[in-house]
Amino acid sequence: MANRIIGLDHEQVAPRNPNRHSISVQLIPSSIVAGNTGLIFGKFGSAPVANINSNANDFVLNAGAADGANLYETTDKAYDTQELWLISDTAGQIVNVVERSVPKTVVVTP
Amino acid sequence: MTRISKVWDAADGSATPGRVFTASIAQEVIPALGKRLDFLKLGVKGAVSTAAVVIETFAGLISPFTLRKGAANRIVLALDELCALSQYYYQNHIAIGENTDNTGNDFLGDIRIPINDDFDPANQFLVQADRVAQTNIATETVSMTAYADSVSGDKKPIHAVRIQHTTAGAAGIEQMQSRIPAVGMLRALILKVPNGFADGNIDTSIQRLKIYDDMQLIAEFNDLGDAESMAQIDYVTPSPTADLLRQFRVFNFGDVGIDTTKGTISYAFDVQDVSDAIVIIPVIEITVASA
Repeated sequence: MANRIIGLDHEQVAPRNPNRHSISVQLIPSSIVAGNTGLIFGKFGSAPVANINSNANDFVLNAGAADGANLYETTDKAYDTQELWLISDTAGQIVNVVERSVPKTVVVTP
Repeated sequence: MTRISKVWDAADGSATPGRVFTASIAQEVIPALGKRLDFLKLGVKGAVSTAAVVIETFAGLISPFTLRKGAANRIVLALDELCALSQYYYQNHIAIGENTDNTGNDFLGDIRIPINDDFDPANQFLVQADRVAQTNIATETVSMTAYADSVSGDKKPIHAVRIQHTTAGAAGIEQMQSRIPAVGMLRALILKVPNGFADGNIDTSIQRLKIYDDMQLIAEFNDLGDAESMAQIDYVTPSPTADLLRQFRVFNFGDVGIDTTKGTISYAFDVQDVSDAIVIIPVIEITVASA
């Protein structure tokens, strides 16, 4: 779990991770962070556009909303393994990013 | 066999030079025209009233132009950034008409947008143009044409997506937190900077650029000596073309480039004009199937 401050510039909140199990992003509710009044735009693999009418984004969050994946098996790998980029239409928005990875396969030679 | 087809235009027989562009154009599909989409060509016109509109202001009209293949962003650039990409990638000179009084028109044309990828019914090419109104500009039109081919070519698909950044508040080396998208071979880094060389200025937004592979320095550039000239640049008395393009600094990684899919490619700036709003455009030849 890691809090990140997202503003009017692009932020890469997670690098490419071929072993990603899951990743989730929540714009912390404004009842907890009063300044969280904007929107968060997200995209895997490239930078999004801070405009609700843009087709360049994978998801958009308002305060309290989250996007992520719940996989059944803990060894499943996430569909999106590219970098995750975020941007906001408002300065100083605080999000929480949680990423989990499956262990790297270790080949043991007897 | 080449196939060339209009995507955005006015009706045949019309004196209007393109599709009406007084509002944003929402996402549309480029229909399959053969095997491969080589590139798009774009032109924009706007009528001027009240006062002259310089070309770099007019070029704020599209922000951004978006081209996706399926869910993946391929090109996300503003109009002036498309001009810079066209100039860098094709070495072709864009057409410019800058209005100098309060009547007439501004023009930008012959802007090539590199695609180099096959048509795929499961992952269609999707285009969108977001319009940002410019003061004293009206009755805008936009023309776009798709240049396709019946056979695949050797050129790799292009990824060029703008990254907004504000440089550090203190002069010196700024290590960028973000890494270059891991989709292929990095051919060039185009930086759009507000503060460049001029008669009375020698300190620029990004005075030096450093590239690291797994934290090992593999390339370093100096703005004065290494940035490729996008036009007949005159830092002191620039032409309209130079006014539009001199804010773009192209750092070229050669014919092979840097593989972003292996290791971790990161970069750092030597910031000598602090807290500048810049745009970073990595130009990447895609080698990853899912990108």
